[in-house]
Amino acid sequence: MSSTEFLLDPRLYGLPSKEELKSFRIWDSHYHGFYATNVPIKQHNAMLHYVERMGVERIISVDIGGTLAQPLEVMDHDAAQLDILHKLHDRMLGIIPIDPGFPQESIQKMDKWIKNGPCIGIKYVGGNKLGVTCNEPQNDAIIEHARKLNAVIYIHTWIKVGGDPRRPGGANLSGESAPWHVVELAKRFPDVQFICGHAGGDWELGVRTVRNQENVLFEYSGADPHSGSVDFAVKEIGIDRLVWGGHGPSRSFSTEFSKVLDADLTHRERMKIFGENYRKLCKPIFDKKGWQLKI
Amino acid sequence: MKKINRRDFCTAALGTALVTQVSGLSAGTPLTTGKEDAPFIIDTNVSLGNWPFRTLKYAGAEKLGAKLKKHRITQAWAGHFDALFHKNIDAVNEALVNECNRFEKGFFQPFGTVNLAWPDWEETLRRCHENYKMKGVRIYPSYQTFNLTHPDFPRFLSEVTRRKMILQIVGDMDDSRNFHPIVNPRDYSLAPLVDMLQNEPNARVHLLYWNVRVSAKLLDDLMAKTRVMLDTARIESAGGVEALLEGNQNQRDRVFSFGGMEQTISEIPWSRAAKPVPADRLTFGSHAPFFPVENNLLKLFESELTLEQTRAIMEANARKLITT
Repeated sequence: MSSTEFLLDPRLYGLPSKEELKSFRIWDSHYHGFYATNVPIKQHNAMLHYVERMGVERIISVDIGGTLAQPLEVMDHDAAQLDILHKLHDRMLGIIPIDPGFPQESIQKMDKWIKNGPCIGIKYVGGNKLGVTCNEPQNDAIIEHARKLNAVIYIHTWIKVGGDPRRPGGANLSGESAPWHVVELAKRFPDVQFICGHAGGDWELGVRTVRNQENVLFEYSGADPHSGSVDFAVKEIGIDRLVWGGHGPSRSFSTEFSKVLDADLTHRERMKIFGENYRKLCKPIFDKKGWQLKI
Repeated sequence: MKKINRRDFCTAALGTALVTQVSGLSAGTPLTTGKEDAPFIIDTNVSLGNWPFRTLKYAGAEKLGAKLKKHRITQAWAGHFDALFHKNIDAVNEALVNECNRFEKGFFQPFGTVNLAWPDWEETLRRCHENYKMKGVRIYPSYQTFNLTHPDFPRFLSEVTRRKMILQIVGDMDDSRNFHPIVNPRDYSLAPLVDMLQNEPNARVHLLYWNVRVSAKLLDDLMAKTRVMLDTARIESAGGVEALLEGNQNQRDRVFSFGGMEQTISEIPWSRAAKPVPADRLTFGSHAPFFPVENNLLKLFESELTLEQTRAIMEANARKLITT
């Protein structure tokens, strides 16, 4: 039998019950259910079992329209994604991958999927064809358009160690942004909020990089869970600038939940990270679209 | 926009028949609530001391022991972080024993280390067994600068087996993408175990944080041709534990294939092409205090396991391994 309920009582193991998980009002701001080369819809359908089982209230797909490798290409599955976004609106939202190497094409995609469609934001993916990181000038047109649309802006960042000499960020892919690129961009748009994704992959350096840039939010998904990482971010950045992502199916919800559960936080503070801060971020575009949103 | 409630959402994902089953349960009520049915846990992968590059929140026997006990963990097999870098590992092993003894008697089981790259490893192993009465030893080849093709490795394996000790082999300690730049642990393969263990059928080999170094083919071979045990510490992906137990044969509706430029070795769901891993080959391993204890505990809830499978992974398999 396949079930969305737990066999054992998690409270016996010092874990939140299913009801408590639901009470966090978890919004997964980094849902990769469609991230599959050949069978994105099938994979997404399989993932929904775990979304439900782990008590996630709403998922935000970061793979809407095209693919991460070809964000500006129209794909066969685009129509199915659109249909799913309409049918599951109360449980699912979408943001679209763009390519800063092609600003005008990216803006056209934003109009199609955000202005005239159901999506709420854009995603900078981990690398691109022309090797354009998010700090470069041609990004400004994209950000200005996102500001007009009140769109959420998520930027994949990583600080991969490598290179010669070996250094943080020395192994980043071509066009893969690091937190310092986000900060540079955010300084040019102080009235716009940005999500620095994956905590830069290296949260100790990522936190140091963004802590003084108050219009940059911080999201932890996709890296190994390190005990103490969220405590550190709360201390240095503040509870109101942290948002949560699941990164499933490549990461388990357990991995991403545990980063927050490990931290010395109240239930109320966990609610902020698990969903409330993201809801505040996307409230303006909800209002613009005439959608209801309980923060 | 059409409103959709939780029931509709579940229907879309799982089909009406299943939802009928699920809706018969009161929301949030566990299927089995009895405390008497809930297994305790043996954590087969913790470390004492401190990570050289970070002050860990639950470092040390007292903090870590108290934390683990809050999560129904009654025994923990402990290595020592200093084993990765120190040359005087006899002193590390002695410190490990002393640290274990700072907490409740028997809670931490010390797993000292032996480094084949340092001279006279035989004496280190002898001390672990005869002086400290250790149940096993833990090696970290990528940090300790030897691999499983080291000429002494067969003799080492044989000696550990003769002493009826467990040999824990650590694949990795952390994601290679965010190592400290001054540290560059060596690559090594676990594949030689398949042939070597044919000659040591009684060896009790236990792999920790093994996943990045085990391809689907190697996993199949290790399961079919050896008695190697695996910990849960780095089993990733949604429902990762049950996917491992099901193997590829039941993946018709759970595809989870990946592509694109973000793909990295740590994100590849290696298990999807493998045959089923029997539940009696897995032990609970938290990799605490490096990872949050909650991480691996939650995995056993995220995956839909039977009570028998849960009990085996949480406790029974480890108990059998350490007492056989």
